[in-house]
Amino acid sequence: MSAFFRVHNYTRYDFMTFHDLIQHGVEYGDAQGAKYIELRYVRYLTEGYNIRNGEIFAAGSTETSGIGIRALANGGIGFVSTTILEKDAIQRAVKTAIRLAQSSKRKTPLTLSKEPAVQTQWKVQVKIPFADIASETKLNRVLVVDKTLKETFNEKTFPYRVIILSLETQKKFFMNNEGTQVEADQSLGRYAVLLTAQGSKGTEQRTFSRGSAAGWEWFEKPQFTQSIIHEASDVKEVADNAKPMKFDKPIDVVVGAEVAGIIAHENCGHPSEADRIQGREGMNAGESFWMDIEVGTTPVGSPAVTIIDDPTIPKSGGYYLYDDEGVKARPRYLIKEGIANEMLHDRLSAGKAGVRSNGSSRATNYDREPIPRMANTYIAPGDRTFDELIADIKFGMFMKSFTEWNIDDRRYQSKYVGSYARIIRNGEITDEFIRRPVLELTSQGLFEAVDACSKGFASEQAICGKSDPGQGIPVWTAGPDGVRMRQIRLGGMS
Amino acid sequence: MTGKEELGTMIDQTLKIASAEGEAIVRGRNVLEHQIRISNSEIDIFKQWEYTVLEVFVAIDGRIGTTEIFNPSLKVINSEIGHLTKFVKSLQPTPLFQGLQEDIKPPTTVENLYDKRIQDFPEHAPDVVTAAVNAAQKSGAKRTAGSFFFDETHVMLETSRGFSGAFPESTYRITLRSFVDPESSGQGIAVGRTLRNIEKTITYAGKESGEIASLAVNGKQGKAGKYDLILHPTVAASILGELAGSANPLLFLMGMSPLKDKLGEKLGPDSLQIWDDGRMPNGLGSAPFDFEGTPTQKSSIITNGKLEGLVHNASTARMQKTKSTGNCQLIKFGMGTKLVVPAPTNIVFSKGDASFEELLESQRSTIYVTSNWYLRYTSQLEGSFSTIPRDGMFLIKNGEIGQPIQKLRIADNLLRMLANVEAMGKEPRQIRWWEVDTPTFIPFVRIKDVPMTAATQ
Repeated sequence: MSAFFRVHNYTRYDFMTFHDLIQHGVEYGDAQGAKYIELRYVRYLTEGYNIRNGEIFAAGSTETSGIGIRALANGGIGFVSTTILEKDAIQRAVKTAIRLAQSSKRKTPLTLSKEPAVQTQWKVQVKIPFADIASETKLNRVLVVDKTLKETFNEKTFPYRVIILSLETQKKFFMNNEGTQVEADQSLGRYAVLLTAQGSKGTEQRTFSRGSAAGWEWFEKPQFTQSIIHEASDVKEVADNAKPMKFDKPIDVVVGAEVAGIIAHENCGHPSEADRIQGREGMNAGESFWMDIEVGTTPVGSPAVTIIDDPTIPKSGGYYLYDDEGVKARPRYLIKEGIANEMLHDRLSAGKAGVRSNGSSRATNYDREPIPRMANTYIAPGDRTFDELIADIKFGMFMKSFTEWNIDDRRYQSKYVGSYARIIRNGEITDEFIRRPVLELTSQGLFEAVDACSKGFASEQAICGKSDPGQGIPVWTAGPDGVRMRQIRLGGMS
Repeated sequence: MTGKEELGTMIDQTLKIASAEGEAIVRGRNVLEHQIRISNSEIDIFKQWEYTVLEVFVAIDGRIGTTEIFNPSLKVINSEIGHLTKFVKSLQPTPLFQGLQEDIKPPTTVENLYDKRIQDFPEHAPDVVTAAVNAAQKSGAKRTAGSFFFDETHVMLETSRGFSGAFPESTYRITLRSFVDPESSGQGIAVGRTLRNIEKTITYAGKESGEIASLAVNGKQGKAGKYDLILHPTVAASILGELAGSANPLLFLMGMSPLKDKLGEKLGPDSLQIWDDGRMPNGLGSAPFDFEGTPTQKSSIITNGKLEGLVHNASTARMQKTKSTGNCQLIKFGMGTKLVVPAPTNIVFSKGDASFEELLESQRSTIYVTSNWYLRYTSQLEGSFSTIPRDGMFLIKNGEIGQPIQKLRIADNLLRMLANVEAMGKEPRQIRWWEVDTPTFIPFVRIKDVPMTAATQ
């Protein structure tokens, strides 16, 4: 166990096993009067290879390690993080966390939900650890992608090409004074691409990202390069062909998996976060229109809409089996056949609501408090094929991807600007491209308009932002390759 | 935290090893930071972060890399720098690095960056926050949420070009958001470096948030269309500050700035001046020198409405045959990577001569927007974007704040909005909050003909 503390080749913490050190902190906090105390150790290695137009822009490898301490005392919560992994420093930090909790002087004491104590470990299945691959090889992998882009398209087609490769590994150990101990090994590979295309109809910019809980083997697959080339081809087509169009009447709209995924995330995942619903994110990420409904009974969409947040999907970008409070993860059915069904809870929000946590608590690193977060949020696929969805549309739009998007802080009024969008006529997708169509819809209006989903499924890697200080956490946004909405009036200025 | 002398010794040692085969910068920071988060008018959590970190930049034959060493010791430094050097040598040269600042000047001071009262502040902080929440409630708030940060940092910097400097700093920033009901809210912000008037400034933020929330009650669905907008400094900092912050050659290189190829062009009214000022009194981005040891300065971005300059570090200045503006910063980019690139310090807009009441005087359809969030682009190259007003938003009628309205979106272009600036208020405020990363000094602003959109169903 002591090798766990070896950062590169030095062994400054060998004097005490890390298990003993964390356990000592928990016991010390318990003895100091904390009603609840947890220590969460995280060793986080991040590596990045970033290129612009075929030349290296920046690369780096950073390792951090530390312990986040959360204490509940006198009805308040204190949080302290320390990078000094020594007994005295941890005692001081524990004491400070308890003192900060006590100084909050709350009138309504905070409580955590009761959860069973577990002692377990879990890990991401990795075939080739990132550490086993030379940095030259990693950089070269990105350069080859850019070279392929340059060779596939005219050099002037993409005047700006930025490719960002990110590799992350985390080793975590969590322990609290209720007997829970969870050890985890995580590995996540992802890339993001920013392309600016210059076409005959103007410029078009697009960012897209993919990722997987895996090792280097994920980047060795040919799909890595192929998907980037495919996306680039779409951007070029838009820049060359898309024309602004106006529609006097509502039209049928089919959105692809990328758009379906962001809708699932923004219009359903965020409003279902219990801390928002209880007001705890009021200052920053905001509250939720789910404050105004009865979860479990209120319809928020058509029966064709089921939205699930599931951390347990193997190899997914938001994969975990136990959350950062040591609670077992499971799929959460946020909307079930159109009914708001379940919130995303951590132990704090569940304690306030008088329910059990559903394992949604996540923290980005040792120096951040765990809070309710999404993992992999998707609209459940239906039983039609994509072609069947298109076949009975007389006139409409297929919106495969998006550029600009935003949503109000109650998560009700959303906007998605289309990137790759084509007209559907008489049951077929035509070659007519629409420039930047706008879906500007309320969450309810959007989900009520859905009448069918296709069988296909695809995911996009995203970094979900929330809280202050910010916690950008990896998630998948995903869905069927076709979600059909009937009679949508496109937005924007007329 | 590591003692000052010990930290100095470690920086010397790190620089010696890191620059053995090329150039290097080493910055040491001792940080003690606190945050109090509030919701439903009570403290949810009180946090503390305390750490010592060495931030190291190494350049060997045009190849560059960075690392951070937390809780450093001499033994750890040897290992980490060895690792970094090996990593950097495995890379290829980057065009982004053209050499460190060579023109070394002795460090100068910027007054009032540090208030030693910050050391005893943590024990008083909960009471100060409670006073602000009480002020919000007195102004009509039923519940208040907030985020209050305060910190002290001791900075030491050395470069392989011979620069050596140090300074302490303290900052605080609070954002309070009051609610009368879930759809009637208001926001107040207070930021600064000295604690002299902290109770007063924070209480004012609470009062302002409560007042806006109270005025916002019974808001109606706004009607889409073109309006003149009165932007609260919070909104003006987010939108116009975003454009000023894109006067950056780094963003030009990535196709992420609408200001590319616009140097010398008239973009705004004659009366409009915008600077980057790294020595702005009370500015949260102020410092005596930048990450390369270059003295900070006041640099013109927009002069009399024309784009006059960009922010530079030594490398981008060399690329464009000019001088560094003292804007070199260490910026996170992707995972595990930090860039040594130009970035704004404090963005400062010129003030106008209009009072708030005078800004409201108009016969045109006008909306007053007090806060916004979620600014996203259709194209950063073009500057086309939208953002969502939140908290109180009001129709202006007969020169006065009238009917509260809701659920509209600002959907425009940054260049067009700058060109349409009609008037500036005479009382600038410093804005720095969740949605505004770069401290921005800006007054109320009036902009004409801004498209506002709404959900279609």
